[in-house]
Amino acid sequence: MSFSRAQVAYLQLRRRLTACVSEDVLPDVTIEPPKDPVDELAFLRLVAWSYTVLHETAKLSLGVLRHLPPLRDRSGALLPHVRALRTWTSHNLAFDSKTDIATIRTAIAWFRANCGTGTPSTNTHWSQCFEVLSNDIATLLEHAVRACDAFEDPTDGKGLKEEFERRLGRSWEGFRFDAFVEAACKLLGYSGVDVVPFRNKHLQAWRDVVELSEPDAIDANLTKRVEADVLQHMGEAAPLTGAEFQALLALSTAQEIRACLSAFRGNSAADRKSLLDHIVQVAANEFVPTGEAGER
Amino acid sequence: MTNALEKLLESFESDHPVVLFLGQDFFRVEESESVLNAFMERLEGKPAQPEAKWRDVLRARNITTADYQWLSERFDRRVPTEGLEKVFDLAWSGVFTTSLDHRIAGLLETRGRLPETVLAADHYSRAPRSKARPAIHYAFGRAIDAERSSPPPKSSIELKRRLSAHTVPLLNRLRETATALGLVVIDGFIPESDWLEIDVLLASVSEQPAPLVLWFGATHTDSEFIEQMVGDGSLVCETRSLAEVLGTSARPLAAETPVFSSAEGTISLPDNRFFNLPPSLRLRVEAVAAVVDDTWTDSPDSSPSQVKELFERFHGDFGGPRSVVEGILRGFAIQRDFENRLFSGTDLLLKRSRDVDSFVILHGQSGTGKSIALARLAMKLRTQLKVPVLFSWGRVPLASELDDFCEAAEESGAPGTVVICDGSHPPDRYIDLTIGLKSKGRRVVVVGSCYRIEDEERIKDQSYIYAPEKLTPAEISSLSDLLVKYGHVSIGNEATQLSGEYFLPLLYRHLTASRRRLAGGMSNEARAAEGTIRIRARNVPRRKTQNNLLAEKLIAAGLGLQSEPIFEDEVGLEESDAAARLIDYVMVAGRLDCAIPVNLLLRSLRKAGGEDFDISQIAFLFQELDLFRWRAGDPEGNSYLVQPRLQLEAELICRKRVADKERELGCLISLISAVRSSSVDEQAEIQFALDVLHKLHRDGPRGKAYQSGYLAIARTLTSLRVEHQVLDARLMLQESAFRRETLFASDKPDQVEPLSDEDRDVILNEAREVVEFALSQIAAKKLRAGRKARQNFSVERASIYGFLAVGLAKRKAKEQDIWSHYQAARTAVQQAISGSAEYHPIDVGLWTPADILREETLSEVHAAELRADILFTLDQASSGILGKEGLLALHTRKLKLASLLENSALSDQAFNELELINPQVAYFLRAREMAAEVLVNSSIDPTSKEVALAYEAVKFLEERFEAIQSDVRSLQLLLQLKWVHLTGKRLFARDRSRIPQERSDQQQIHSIVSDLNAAAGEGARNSYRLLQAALEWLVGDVHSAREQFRDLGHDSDFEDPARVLRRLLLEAPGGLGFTGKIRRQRSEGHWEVQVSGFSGEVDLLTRDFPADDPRPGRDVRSFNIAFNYLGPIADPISRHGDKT
Repeated sequence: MSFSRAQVAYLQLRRRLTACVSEDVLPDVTIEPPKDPVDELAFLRLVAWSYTVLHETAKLSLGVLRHLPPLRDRSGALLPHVRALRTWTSHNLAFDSKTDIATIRTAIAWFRANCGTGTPSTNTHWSQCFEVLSNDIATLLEHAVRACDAFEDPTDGKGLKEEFERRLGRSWEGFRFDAFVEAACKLLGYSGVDVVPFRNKHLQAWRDVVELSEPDAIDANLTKRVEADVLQHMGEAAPLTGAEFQALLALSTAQEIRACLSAFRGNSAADRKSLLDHIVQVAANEFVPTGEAGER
Repeated sequence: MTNALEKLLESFESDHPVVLFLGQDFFRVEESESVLNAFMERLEGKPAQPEAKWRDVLRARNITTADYQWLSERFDRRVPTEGLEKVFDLAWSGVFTTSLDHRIAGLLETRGRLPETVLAADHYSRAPRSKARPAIHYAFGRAIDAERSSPPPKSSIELKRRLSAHTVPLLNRLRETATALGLVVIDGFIPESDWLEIDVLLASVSEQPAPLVLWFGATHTDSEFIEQMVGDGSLVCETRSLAEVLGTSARPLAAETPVFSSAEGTISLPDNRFFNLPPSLRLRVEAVAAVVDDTWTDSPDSSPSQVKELFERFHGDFGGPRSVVEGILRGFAIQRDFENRLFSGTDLLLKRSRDVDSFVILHGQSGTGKSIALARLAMKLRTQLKVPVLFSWGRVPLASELDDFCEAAEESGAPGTVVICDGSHPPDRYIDLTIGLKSKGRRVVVVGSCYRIEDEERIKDQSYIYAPEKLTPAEISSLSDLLVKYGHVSIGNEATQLSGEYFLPLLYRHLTASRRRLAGGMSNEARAAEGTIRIRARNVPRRKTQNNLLAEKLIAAGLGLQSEPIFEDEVGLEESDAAARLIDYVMVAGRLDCAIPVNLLLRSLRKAGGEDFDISQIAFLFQELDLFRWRAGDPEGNSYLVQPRLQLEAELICRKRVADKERELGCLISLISAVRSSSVDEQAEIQFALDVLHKLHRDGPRGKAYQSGYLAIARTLTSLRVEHQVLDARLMLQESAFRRETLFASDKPDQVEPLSDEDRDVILNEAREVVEFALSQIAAKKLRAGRKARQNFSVERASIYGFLAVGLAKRKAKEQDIWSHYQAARTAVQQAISGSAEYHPIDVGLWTPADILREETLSEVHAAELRADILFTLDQASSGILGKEGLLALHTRKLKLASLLENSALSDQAFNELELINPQVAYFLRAREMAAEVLVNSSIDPTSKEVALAYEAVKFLEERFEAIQSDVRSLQLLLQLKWVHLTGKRLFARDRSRIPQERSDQQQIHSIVSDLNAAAGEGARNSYRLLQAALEWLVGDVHSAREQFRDLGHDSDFEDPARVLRRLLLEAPGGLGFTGKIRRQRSEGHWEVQVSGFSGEVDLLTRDFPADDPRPGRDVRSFNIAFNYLGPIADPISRHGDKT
């Protein structure tokens, strides 16, 4: 079974990277691997396993190794069909979305090329697809193992390891961003942010900032970016900006502004509209009690 | 967001050219360049200084080839940062670099791109600014090429040489590649380290009209250029690197979607088959025509809130064919009545895909819905017939550019390919494309749009579909419903009141955004259009001078922004105003439906404006006025063109603004004279000139409107060639053609001023010199010209000598002079006819002797020879070489010749006299007279009486064979009559002319046709070469026959649609067919068969014998042997109903 080839290659890659870079550079793949006999389920598991390797556990390592021979000879994304197959197998695709239609087309084209039909239905079809995909991922990982030879090169090895370590150092765990969010909220006098969901929403963009900034500019660039995102969040949370509220209601301190903005959080759009109407009426001295929103 | 980033993102979003300049330090990571440090260590033998610079490399010692090889290995093994990956992921239109790293190409190979490298000043990329095939210009070469040509410099002296010979010329392309609207982005450039001085770099991009330059990673540098460019706003400096700026941007970059997508290439075919285009093929074909794949016909995203706006935008500005298809899918356009005929005509031709005349021409005035009809045709062909469709707009592709696509489509099971060209080109260009593809045996239908055709013969032809200007009542009703549906109730009601109003003008006047505000009469289009310009162009800012900071602030605050009207009310523009010229140039070219390459436009404006040229005005007109459109000339964004928003608008504006024909001609000549071959856009510029020239011709959309300027145009082309070295065979052909057209026009004194004889001679002599020069350059291989171009030059030469001879005859010059010019014309005509299926050379071969005869200045002997030549040419033309178009023209010409040929029978006395002086002519005329009845109607089989007459004439000629054995006219006549005598049919009257079965008959014909071809030399016709090769295969040497077929196949490639037709057929005695054994497979679907009783092999196509399942070693039965230009081929008997 060629899947065992992929597993062995993954293990070898882990050994090599641990030896030359760091022991935690390639984590375990813990999702259920495919089993015999080869049927639709086995194929779906193989897709999930391959996707996890390419886009999660080995993403950082492959990002470096793909620039070294023999992986360097592959142009474009590594095994781009894995993403399409994973989306095709695991997501509810919409027939009126162009992106989703493109994904469906890519998946169908791959099936047709590898088992003769765009919609595999028999075990023979699934088995053929399984063989092709497991061979693809195994070959890729074997090439990645061979690419590790460059780390042992007396001339280039040092620089390559430095780049690998630099990337590793720039691959921040999510929690490291939380301090920046808290600092921004504090500075802006805004306490209503639920830090973890907020961080997760912006994680990739913030990681990009860390990856792309000069070392001495990481803190400054990240702070700017997080502050901008918190401000954006504040703007989205209330129908008016803090400045507009300040002008409208003649507020004078950050506390007052914060209280006003916080009042809008957690309410539905309809509630917020009523609240806004109420405030406008207050400001215009034309208040007439109109119900629940008005009494708040 | 920083100013620089904002401008960069805007440029990417608006799809303007953005060119990257990468300095040598682009790989520097955290202030350190490990490869540079290691290289310095190698060169100096000690660890490098902490801040090593690339300049230190050349100071250390001379670099050896081994050093560069070592360096290229290091480049091979370094890993870019994520930031660099992000930079390379952007859709650059081109890259210029001082780096020596060959891996830059590898880093650009993302998002489906296929980069190309340029290493020296005499190298030009195939696509100067393609985002799919970005060119990487290495200013100093690459380390990996140390042993090859264009190596990098190995010492300071070599660096200086390289700088002058290659670096500066390469950098000079930077500005043209980016264009004045685009951007140059500098990154990774550290002036004190790089081998390139900053002033050299900035000098190359600062000459006006210049692109905006963004310098990322800018450092404080002492440079006059920086000060000046920052001052006038053409340089923006940003201290952070591009990668860092991108990383901190909150705006997402579309760096994940493919620049060039091969994944979208699926084309579904009938019977659940698919055609998956290989990426390289898609890239090649998309450079000239869009592939209408399945994504085109997906339902458009629905957004009800914007639907009215989309509707108005659709009718105000079509954009490319894809957006028109999308608009049609949304139901934004009514279907006109003629569209059904367009579809059914195309469908019919697809079913008869073996017909030679597989083309449909849609003609009509601008604004009649042709573009919409073609887009709807593409959509219906894809959705209903599932036939592959290629859509080209602007230019007509060459057959060689599309052939691979058509072949691959057919191999995937497509019933054929439809090529749609929306470009308003003359019909001949579509016909040429059809012929080219048919010569390769492609099952293709070409559908082209064309301005209105007046020729009555053509109008009657079913291949020509007319798009009428007036709407039928049903169309008016549909239009009214459509307008009401999208909220234009008043216009909808207005439409119902009409009894045949012009179609698009109605929509145009009412629907484009601002036009609704204009109250205009129904017939006042021009004023409305110009009024719109006035409204939009009321104010143009003054030229931007070198403002100081305070001035900038004042302007920003609205002070000091004094406006300068473009238009004084009812006065028009000042002549010297660059903005005025810009409008004129774009509109006069737009009127002819020609989009102008942007660099050419700005060059011509600069040339015309001199010191007054003001780029800020131009930029304002482009950015703020909704008059023009920039568009990429091809799907991969390789060439940038400027055109009016709508052709109709250009037409209206020209009528009003450029009413003076001379002024219009002046604009066109200015544009043509600005074409340059040293430009990165050489091909686009030459193509523009050719398109304009074709449309200025008297067969063009505006007929004879431009004929007073033909001589000036021809002389402009000559000065382009002589002064600016624009050497192009096609332009040289026009140099001559426009001179000839000048003479043609001057023959009608009511239209232009007549020319004196001296002037005529001068002009004709100029034309002759151009043609002779071109032919000599082609022969010396100094001028590139395909077979087609060479043939055209032959025809052109024939025409010129014909003109000279006729002119001399009209002036009653010496007979000897007339005759020598006539002979030159005749030789050229025969050469041109030999390999061409076109009518044009035949026409020259007819009018030249006819016009001379009419002057009655020649002796009887020469007059008889002229008549003989006319008859000979008519016989040639009648024997199946012409297509439908040619036959129509021939018919018209024959009517004109009738009076000349009447009573031309030779009396006995005249025959005797002529026999003494010129026996060949005498025998030809007498034999033809004997067989006149046989040759009178070539479309029906000869009667028994005619066969008998043919035999008499054959006998007459054979008895005098010695005299005629080198006379092409008599030999051709003998061959035609002999064929009639032996087979009872006419040679090549239709497909599969039956070859006589008797070997002695075959030998006789072989002997005649061999003599004929030998006598004709280079003028031997392809069809006679086929006959000779086929008979050689049957009764002569098989190897020699194969060689003849190979030459014939090569010479007729992309030229002769008859190439793949089975024009000759050998039937087996008894009618049961031949038998043979399959020997091997030649290629997919092609087999080689050994036929019993013959020494040579024949080809067999799987598709001809679907039930036989061909395999090597299997027997094949029941076939005849057919011949096309490629050789003998097994022809199933059953196909023609002969099998019982």
